[in-house]
Amino acid sequence: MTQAADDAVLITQAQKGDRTAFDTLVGRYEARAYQYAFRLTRNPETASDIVSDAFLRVYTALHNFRGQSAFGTWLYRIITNCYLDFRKKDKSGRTSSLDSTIKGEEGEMERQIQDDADGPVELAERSAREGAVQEALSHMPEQQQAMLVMFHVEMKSYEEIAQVLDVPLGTVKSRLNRARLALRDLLGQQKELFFTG
Amino acid sequence: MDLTQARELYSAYYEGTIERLSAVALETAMQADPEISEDYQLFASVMDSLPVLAQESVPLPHDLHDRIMQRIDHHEWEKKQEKRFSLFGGPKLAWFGVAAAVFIGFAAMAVIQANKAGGTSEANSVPVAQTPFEVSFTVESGAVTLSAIGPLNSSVVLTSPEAGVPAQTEATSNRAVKIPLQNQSSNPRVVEVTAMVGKTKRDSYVMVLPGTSRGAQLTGEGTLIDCAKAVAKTYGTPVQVEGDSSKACRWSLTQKDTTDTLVVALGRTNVTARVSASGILQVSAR
Repeated sequence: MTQAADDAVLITQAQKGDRTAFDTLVGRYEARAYQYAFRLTRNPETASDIVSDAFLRVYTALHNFRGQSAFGTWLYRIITNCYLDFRKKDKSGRTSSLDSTIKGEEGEMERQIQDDADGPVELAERSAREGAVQEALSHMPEQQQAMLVMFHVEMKSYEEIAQVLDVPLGTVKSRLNRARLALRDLLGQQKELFFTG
Repeated sequence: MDLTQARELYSAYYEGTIERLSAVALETAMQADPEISEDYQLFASVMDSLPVLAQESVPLPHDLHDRIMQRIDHHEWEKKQEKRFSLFGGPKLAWFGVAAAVFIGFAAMAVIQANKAGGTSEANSVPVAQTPFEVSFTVESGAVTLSAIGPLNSSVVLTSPEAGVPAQTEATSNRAVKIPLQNQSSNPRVVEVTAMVGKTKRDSYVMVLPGTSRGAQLTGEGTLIDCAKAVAKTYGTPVQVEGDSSKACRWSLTQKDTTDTLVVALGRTNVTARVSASGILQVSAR
């Protein structure tokens, strides 16, 4: 059975009130949901809250889900909306984590980027670029930030992003171009990080 | 082509999806204008650096699943509370509101009377509505789940003396919990669930969980617990024991009993059996 068909069975059971089926559905998607939320917020607590909120919205709206899009796409849309709501409420802006550590359950840990066997200089440069990009992302409007994370980090296609945001494909392309330009402009002050060698 | 026009084409050019004529126009503009050229180079360099973010390892909080499910349980509990305590939620609840108002009125009068009498009455607080203790069991595909929610300082304590495992205590203080009851041993096992408020025992429930192996124990005599174990062993079904579990009883079953005939077969002896709305077979001794 394909994942989509399997999901459809679980969703139908959950719509009938089967909590075990809903539990399984949560288990299947929670890691992806958390990664996306974390990449938007850079804060484990906030990411957990957003994911919990999102699954609660899924739970209360599941009876309306008719499978027009994949469950994962629907969930991404809900997480994006939860994140936008969170940012609206949190007018003071984010407090996280543009430094080089992540707050984990066992205290702070160094950010772990998979290493393709670069030397220490390359690693340091890459780390500095990554930090600068993260910082710039955090200062962008939420919609642009979500779009960049979906495309470049979550590797969603234009079509998937169009479904998640419920906008036409052409709109996604033009908005993504604007978001990329905005990111480029924010990083303009640190161009030496990007022109190496 | 000026910088603004050139910038409109950056993404398509970077991705290689740009039309041929537009690509030529952009390349010409970049050759002619160093500002456009440098602007695009930084754009491309920033784009090249983005995939590294996808390689970042994001540690998953170990309690994420529990947090999600607790959030949903809390939402369910709040919904129940709204129905239960809303004065405007329905005719019955409106009557509850009237009754509460009368009660508060009497309580206030009692305080006034006590004060007039010069006493040091302690009747100066209005009773606070408490969450009632609700414990229930559901069964799905043979697996039993205990659901419980209770008032302030409440908990459920699970004990299984035969298993020799320590008692498990779960706080239910204004909080809905769901606990799967499992028996990994081969034989049926008794699990006792005690509902506590503070240190006071409020109620107790006895559940016999089937083990992993089956065997026919079609006839026999013993306590009600023994009867429940025989049913669990023979049919692989969980059995809730109600009333005095040590009461003597006997049973005579057939291998082909369905739930309905099982209820009838047990009913021929001194055991009363019924199936609850949530699908749990409940037995008690007459």
